[in-house]
Amino acid sequence: MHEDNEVGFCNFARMISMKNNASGKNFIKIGDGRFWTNFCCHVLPHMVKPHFWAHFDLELALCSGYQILNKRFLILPTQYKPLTIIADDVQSAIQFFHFHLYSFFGPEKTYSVYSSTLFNTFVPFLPNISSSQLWLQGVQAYSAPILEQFLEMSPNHHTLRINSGFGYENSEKVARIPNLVVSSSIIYVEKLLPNFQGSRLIVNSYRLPETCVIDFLKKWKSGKGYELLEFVHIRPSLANPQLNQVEILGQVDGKRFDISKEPPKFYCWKIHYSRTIMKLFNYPHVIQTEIIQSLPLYDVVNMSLCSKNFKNYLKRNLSGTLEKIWHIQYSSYRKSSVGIQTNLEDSSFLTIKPFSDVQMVRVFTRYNLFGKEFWCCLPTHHEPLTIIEEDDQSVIRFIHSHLYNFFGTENTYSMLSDGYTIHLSFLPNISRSRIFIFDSEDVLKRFLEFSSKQHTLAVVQRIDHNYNEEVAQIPNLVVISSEIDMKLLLSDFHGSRLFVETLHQLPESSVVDFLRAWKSGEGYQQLEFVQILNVAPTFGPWVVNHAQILEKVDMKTFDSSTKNPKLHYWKSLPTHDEPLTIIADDDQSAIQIIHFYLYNFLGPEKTYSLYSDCYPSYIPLLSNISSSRINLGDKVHILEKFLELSPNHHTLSIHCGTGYENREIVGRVPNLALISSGIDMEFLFPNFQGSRLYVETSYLHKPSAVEFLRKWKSGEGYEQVESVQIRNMFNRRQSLVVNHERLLEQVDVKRIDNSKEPPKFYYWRRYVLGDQLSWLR
Amino acid sequence: MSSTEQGTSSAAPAEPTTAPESAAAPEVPESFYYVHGKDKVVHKVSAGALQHSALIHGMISNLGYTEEQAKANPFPFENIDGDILQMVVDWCNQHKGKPTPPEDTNLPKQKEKLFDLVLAVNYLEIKELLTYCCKQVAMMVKGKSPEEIREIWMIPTDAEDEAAEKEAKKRAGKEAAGETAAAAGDAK
Repeated sequence: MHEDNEVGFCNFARMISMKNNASGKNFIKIGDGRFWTNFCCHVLPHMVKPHFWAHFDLELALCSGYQILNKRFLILPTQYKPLTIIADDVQSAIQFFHFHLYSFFGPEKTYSVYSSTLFNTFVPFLPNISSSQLWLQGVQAYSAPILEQFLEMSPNHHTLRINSGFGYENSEKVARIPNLVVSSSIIYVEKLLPNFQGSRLIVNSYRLPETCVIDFLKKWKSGKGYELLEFVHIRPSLANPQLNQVEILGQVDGKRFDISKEPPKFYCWKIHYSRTIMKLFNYPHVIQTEIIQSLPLYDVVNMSLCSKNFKNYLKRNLSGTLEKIWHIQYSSYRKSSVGIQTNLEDSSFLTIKPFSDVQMVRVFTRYNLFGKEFWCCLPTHHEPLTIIEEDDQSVIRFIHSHLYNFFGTENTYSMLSDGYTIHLSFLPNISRSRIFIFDSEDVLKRFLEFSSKQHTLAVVQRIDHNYNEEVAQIPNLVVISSEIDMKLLLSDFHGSRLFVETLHQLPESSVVDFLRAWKSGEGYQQLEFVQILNVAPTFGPWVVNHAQILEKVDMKTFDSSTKNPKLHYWKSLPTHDEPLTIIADDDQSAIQIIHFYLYNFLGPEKTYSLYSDCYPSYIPLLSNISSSRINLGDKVHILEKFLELSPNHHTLSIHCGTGYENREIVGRVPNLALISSGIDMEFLFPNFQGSRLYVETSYLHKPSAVEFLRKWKSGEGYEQVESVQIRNMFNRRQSLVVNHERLLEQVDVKRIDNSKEPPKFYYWRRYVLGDQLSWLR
Repeated sequence: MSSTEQGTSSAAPAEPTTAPESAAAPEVPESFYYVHGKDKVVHKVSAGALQHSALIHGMISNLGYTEEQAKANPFPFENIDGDILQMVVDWCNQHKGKPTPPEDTNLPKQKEKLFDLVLAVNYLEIKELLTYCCKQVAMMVKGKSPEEIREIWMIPTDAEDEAAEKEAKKRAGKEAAGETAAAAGDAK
């Protein structure tokens, strides 16, 4: 890969990528940058009047129009959803847009296809594609003809990854691709290997005869074939580790193939270029700063290793930027996959992954990081620099030491590990941590040995735990554990904030003693906040009698909300991935105070929306809201109160709950979406005065529907109605199905179609997904 | 949109060959100005294109030149090479009246020219182009090892820094001694 192309690849790596994901939807995605993501397309078989179908959340207000482009519908993009194209023939629609995009952006860009689905393969046959990842499954698992056709259209692929499928092993077109990645349990590797003419090959397969691999490696090593081959990674499936690597390497003098030793062909991958020399210090100071600020953070840290003076120079010149970094976070969400974030980057700025987790459409390269070379995927706008390394622990220790050395002690270093693994990086100088401990009692102890000065620690434990007294010294402590010894913890706690969630029996006397000591000032002087939750009190053997405890310690004096509710909130500073959190007893008044403040500060021109999707239902009673999505449940009376406070809704989406269909205040909302099995259309239709209506219900009152359509069509009513869609919520219940053709016959629906296009575009039509599902009929 | 003419700044430039920008003439005719670099080749540039340069925009904003006056008084930028000025003029014309994209792939690929271009753009105060150029310079070291970066940007090593520091101290010491001796001589 040429250097300039590498740079270009970073910027335009997926100029167009197309995906057919498990839901059967096809995406055309233009570019990888933030700039471009708003221009994503989403191609669907058309089924309903589109602009209404697609936008049924709060963003309806942001996107109220659609355009017809050459017999296809475009739904304009919103903040949350991409540009959507609705077309009958998805293949031709994608080809149509690809043609336009290719003629617009030109051949210099990289165009790639990403096609994956759980059931049936969808491969868009497009010209000028150079990088693809295909999942070949279902009836098209025998993939030779598909690949032949696909590669005939786009013969100049530089990278192709094929997951699943078989039958293409003898394909010359496949064998000629420079970078080929094949993962399939059923391919015949012995047919594939002899034909390969590219430069990089990765094979994951069950069927991997040792003799085949040995022959291949011998031929490569001897120089009698595979002259272009630079890199090969052959791996049997973990489920069938029949390949004896030691024996193979022994037979082919394997040391020369060992990637960890110098100087195997692996290292030929890196191509050296003639360099232009340019003295940085010859530029004016302001330009030097601009140049350095253009580099990603890891390159800046990398540069700091040039010399001591240059490191100080960088610190001086980037003081404004570096001071903004106050948080570096290490997160391990899977074993062998670690992300590093700073508050400067929108996403993770560096990840460490094993080979198996890397998307093969990304190009591998050797990359120098902090003075050490790694196999990496260069960053795109969406994906950070990815280090490909099985031993992530040593890499993360290496990186942490460099980051700590460069950014110094002023920054906060935090560690987050998730609940699916005991995997945890033991790093020094970590001050904020969230760790999960499952099967080893000394993990916490060991962790604290590395980073003893914790400012905030959240521990989740699922096992019996010996109380660790160091934990009680941590200023901000969150413990979620079924078995933590609360008596000991409460008596020893020296921090300022404590949050405990436990199933453990909490001795009432301990709580009373603790509260008394705190209240009287005999102890816990620095304590500001305590919350202890008994997570399943009704199932536990013992329940805390809160009332009795509070009585004993005269708890009312602790309740500051009677004087000034603001004092009662515990603000937790926002982190990179979590917003500012306010903990308040009375959330209704808290949210009202905040909304009132924001409304006064930002003014009435802004759109204020409410999204309340919690269960059980909760509706904050706020004024001046114009767009809402509510999980209503049984709170019909609160809905009315809410709409009285915010009567100028332009969009309202109500999920669950019924009983409001005949309320005038609901019927007046211009854009109304109602989703509940019990919605009574008989009441709703006459009441509706808005312009767009979307209903998902299990019952359509046919006479009301006919009456509605007649009136709408004839102009006797519903003048302002632009679109209506009613979907059968339980579409498998045949008894609820309406014969829509007969219904449409009764109102001569063709005359409703104002575009003169086939009426199906403009009305609901039968849409079949598989054999079982159907929409309203 | 622009024309390049051979000649000196003192000579009146020939009639530019450029056609009007679009068939549909704007209500107010666009005004043009003339600039030349070290090579004295005059470039005709529209006021709209020149808006990218804060320096030139500031110069022309209150001039109110007629076409003839503008022709007769091209702006001299003697510190900018002719081919570099041509690049700048081309860029300004290409981006005239358009929002500047976050990436610009039309920058010159010749890195030898890049240094001069950066200086020229900085002098002419074309902020967007300066950002692109600086990115281009930054890309030269992206993903390189510290040794390579040191080589490309000619950054001295610790040993070289120490040696330079010693040398500077020595020189400073000598100069101080010289000054003391001179002062003593003067006193005598």
